Amino acid sequence: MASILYPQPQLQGGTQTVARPRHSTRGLWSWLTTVDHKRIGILYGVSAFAFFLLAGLEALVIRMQLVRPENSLVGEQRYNELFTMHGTTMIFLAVMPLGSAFFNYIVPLQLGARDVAFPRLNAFSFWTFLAGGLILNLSWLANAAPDQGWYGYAPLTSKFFSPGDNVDYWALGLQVLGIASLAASFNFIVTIFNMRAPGMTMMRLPIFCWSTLIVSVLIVMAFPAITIALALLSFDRFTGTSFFAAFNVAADGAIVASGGDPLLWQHLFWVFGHPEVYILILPAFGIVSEIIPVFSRKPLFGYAVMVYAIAAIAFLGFGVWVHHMFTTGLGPTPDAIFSGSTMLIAIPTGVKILNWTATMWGGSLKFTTAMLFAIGLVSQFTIGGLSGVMHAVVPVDTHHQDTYFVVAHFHYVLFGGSIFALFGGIYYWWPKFTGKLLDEGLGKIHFWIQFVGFNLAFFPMHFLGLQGMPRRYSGYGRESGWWLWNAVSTAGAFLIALGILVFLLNVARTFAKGERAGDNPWDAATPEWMTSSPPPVYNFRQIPTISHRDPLWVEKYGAEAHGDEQELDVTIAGVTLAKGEVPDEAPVEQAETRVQADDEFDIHLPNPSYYPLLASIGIGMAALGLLVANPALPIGAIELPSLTLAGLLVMVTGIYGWSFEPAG
Amino acid sequence: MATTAIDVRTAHGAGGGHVEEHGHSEHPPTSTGMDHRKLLMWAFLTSDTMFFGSLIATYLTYRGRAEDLGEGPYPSEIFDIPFTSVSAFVLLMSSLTMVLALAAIQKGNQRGLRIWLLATALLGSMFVGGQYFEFTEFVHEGLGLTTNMFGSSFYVLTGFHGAHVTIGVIWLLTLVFVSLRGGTTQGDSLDVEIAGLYWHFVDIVWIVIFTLVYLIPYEEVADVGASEAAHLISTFGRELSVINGLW
Amino acid sequence: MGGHNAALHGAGPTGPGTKPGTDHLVTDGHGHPGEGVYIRIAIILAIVTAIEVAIYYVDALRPLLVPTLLVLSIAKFVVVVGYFMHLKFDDSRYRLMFIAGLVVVFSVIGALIAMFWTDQYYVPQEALETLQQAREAEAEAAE
Repeated sequence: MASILYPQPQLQGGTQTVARPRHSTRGLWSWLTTVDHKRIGILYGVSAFAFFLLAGLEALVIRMQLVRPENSLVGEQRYNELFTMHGTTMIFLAVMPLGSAFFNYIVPLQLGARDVAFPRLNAFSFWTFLAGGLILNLSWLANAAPDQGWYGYAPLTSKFFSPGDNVDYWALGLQVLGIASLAASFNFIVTIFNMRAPGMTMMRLPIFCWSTLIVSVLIVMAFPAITIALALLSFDRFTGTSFFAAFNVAADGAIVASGGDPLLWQHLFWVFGHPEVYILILPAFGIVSEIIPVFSRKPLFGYAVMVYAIAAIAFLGFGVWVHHMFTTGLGPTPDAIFSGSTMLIAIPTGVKILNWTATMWGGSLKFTTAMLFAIGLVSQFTIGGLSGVMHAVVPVDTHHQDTYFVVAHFHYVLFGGSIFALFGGIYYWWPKFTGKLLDEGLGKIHFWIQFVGFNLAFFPMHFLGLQGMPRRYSGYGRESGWWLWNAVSTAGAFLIALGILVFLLNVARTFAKGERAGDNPWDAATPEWMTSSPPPVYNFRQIPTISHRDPLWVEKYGAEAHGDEQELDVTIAGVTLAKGEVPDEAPVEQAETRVQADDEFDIHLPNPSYYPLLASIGIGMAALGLLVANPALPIGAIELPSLTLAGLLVMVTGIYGWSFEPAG
Repeated sequence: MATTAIDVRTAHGAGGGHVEEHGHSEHPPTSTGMDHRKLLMWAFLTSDTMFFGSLIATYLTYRGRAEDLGEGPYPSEIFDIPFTSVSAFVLLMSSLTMVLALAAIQKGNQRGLRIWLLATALLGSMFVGGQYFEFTEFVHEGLGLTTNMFGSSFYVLTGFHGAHVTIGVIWLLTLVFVSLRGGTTQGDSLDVEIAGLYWHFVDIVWIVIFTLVYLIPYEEVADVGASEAAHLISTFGRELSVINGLW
Repeated sequence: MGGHNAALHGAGPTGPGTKPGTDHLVTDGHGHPGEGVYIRIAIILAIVTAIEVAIYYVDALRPLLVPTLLVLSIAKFVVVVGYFMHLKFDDSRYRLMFIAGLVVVFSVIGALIAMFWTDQYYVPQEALETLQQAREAEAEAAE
């Protein structure tokens, strides 16, 4: 096969490029100032996993409270805080950033790039994410943890019903996290469009890159809605407007109609919230689409259709938000329209399930731990997807609203879907991250414990929901008859926890005496395995040239053995080169290039920088200034907390320092 | 299978006979040929449409609410259309000066760049100043942020837009500063172009706001709401009856 | 088998013309119009704005006012985006991206507003009174 060489895609012109070895690569400071996508990926992964464990502990307390009727382990207020923080943490601080960890580490490698398009913006995204996560969880220390549910429905969030700081921690924490997600998404959109290796057309993009791209587009279009919703909520709470409450308290204490509308919150929240569901699941789909072909020893079935399906899910995802609001009485027309669009979205999702199954069909399946988790997603997500389609039917949805049936549904898609796939990704790419293999024996034990525990914990919730058990209640009566399935569910939750412990044990064992993996332990096909494991700081000594969708397989087994893909021709400057064709080039120039590329110091990488961290600290300070007591400074007609002003100053300093870092 | 490694293009200018025209030689090529930063800016602007879309949705949702409740001051009595028209005109003309600044630097005209950038920043400041004057006038006439839904949604929508303009002015002045330090060359025209994209976007948002908020008369829209099917259940009533039940 | 290991790349800035990884030649959209065009467009925009404000004051045109204003402002929007932001002359993919975003935003926001405008607002007097009584009772109990 002809491997065609193109010029190396350069790092962005505005980025200062100096030889990396001059800078320290060890110690805390090197981590604080890193702009290396691999290190940022690891930072994302480690902090998100810590938040995952925290949210898991919160879930265990919830299940302990519900283990028997009329339990009094935690009070009602604490229970409200626990389920709010469990949901918020799992969604924004665990599943989303675990996805980001893979985006950061894997996507540039799969693209054959040396870093993302904006390395410092990438660092800024991580530090801002961390700031948001810390602000949200600082609320526990202030004994004002958010207690209104992760959806923050109005008018429960109004000052009238929630006079404490709880809602403010939530609103400002999420606002900061939104900045982080948006910055990261702009970065990945540009990276995936612009940093592809020579020969990697969009339809040769590894499917995980496609899902990253579509998720980034979803974030970019969906997050502004919640940014506005949270800003308006903060106006309601800090300045006394009433965007989301139908009444206001006048100066004399009288309650007066304000004209505000609690339903607007639901609309703005779900305009964001439903795309958010796909933001959580599409990275999982991408991971599974990478794992299943490798361990089926077959190319992905229907690659193009998979791409179109992801895009269709994303597009339709903007047209279904009202199915979260069927019980608000919007009338028959909106109900009918959004019921239809919700049913429609099941079609591309079903296509994906079919394609994974067809990929496995007739393959030589290898049941590694990663493969087990991937099959786990396919089976468990299907169950969650089916109960999801039930909710498209308005009368059924009305019946299920606010019951445990809904809890069962979204845990099947989020845990059975996202978390299973994320663990699959961890087992699959662990050798890429560390150069060592996670233990397969312990891994399989982990999988089966988690699989059984998961189904024990969440399948009974279907029954509980249909029996009428409401969500978000801190207890239930003895006469309800709900004790058995609740006890089973709690047992399942502890089994999941045991599974996670086995995973942690596996990780510790691997660090101590893990098996060396080699560069491509799974005999995978995609470009991230073309470099060593773990990759050098510059990723690829020579930027690979991609002539096929599964380059490593084509190289090893030949294009004919690979299947019927008709994409083996490479087009350069409008001239299509058939296999093996050699365009005229001076051999001397090739030799010169070889010498240059062999010189490691000639690979230019962006400088480390502390300005992204500084800007993130500024944003964190600005948000904290509104939450903790600190003296206010009058600016014109309004008073602003001094900490907020100082934070804004630090942020601006960071941004300016970042923009003007010397270019020499 | 052939195993030959082919280097299609290596050093500068190697292998002639191809199209030599490329606008920004300082900016290395990308897979799509689109510049990283310009693509980022367009992605940001696309996202910003949703930002302002949500704000405009909020404003339009509450349009006429103050009239429904009989809580003044109403937009029809408080808006000063001639004054705001001048503001809109000023912002529109700042788009012209912005694009002239870009045309100047694309020809390597440093002095032209600085003059037009300063003119743009000045017009932008005039707009923000006009908005400050307008807000103060409205407050004097009794319309505060919390007076009624009109006040809340109006100040927040136009305030967020004003904040965008303010950031734009600071950005333009920074470009002038960089240019004065001799840092802007013809090859840096992309810096100006990207700032320009942001600036024009802020202008088109105002085109929309000016029409939807100021020019479309208020009585008519309120009538549309009132004449619609009365049998639909009001969500407010429902929400408050829930509260009612709780108490 | 050569494959990626034999693959080399040019180390320095690459030559002009082709873009790596693309199937076709791409130029970065530099058919910008000149200053004369910009000034003419600005004059047109100013005139359209003047017309918008003028018809606002003509009572006879009231029934046509809203559609006229919408059409004129959309026209202004398109002209600024097309000429001042160079979208008309630039890479078609910028255009595609921005228009796709506008379509999503327009549909979502349009549907959202439509759902509110087909609903009728009334003052929830009874509920307010109940809230007020409950608040007063709470205050009394506190004393």
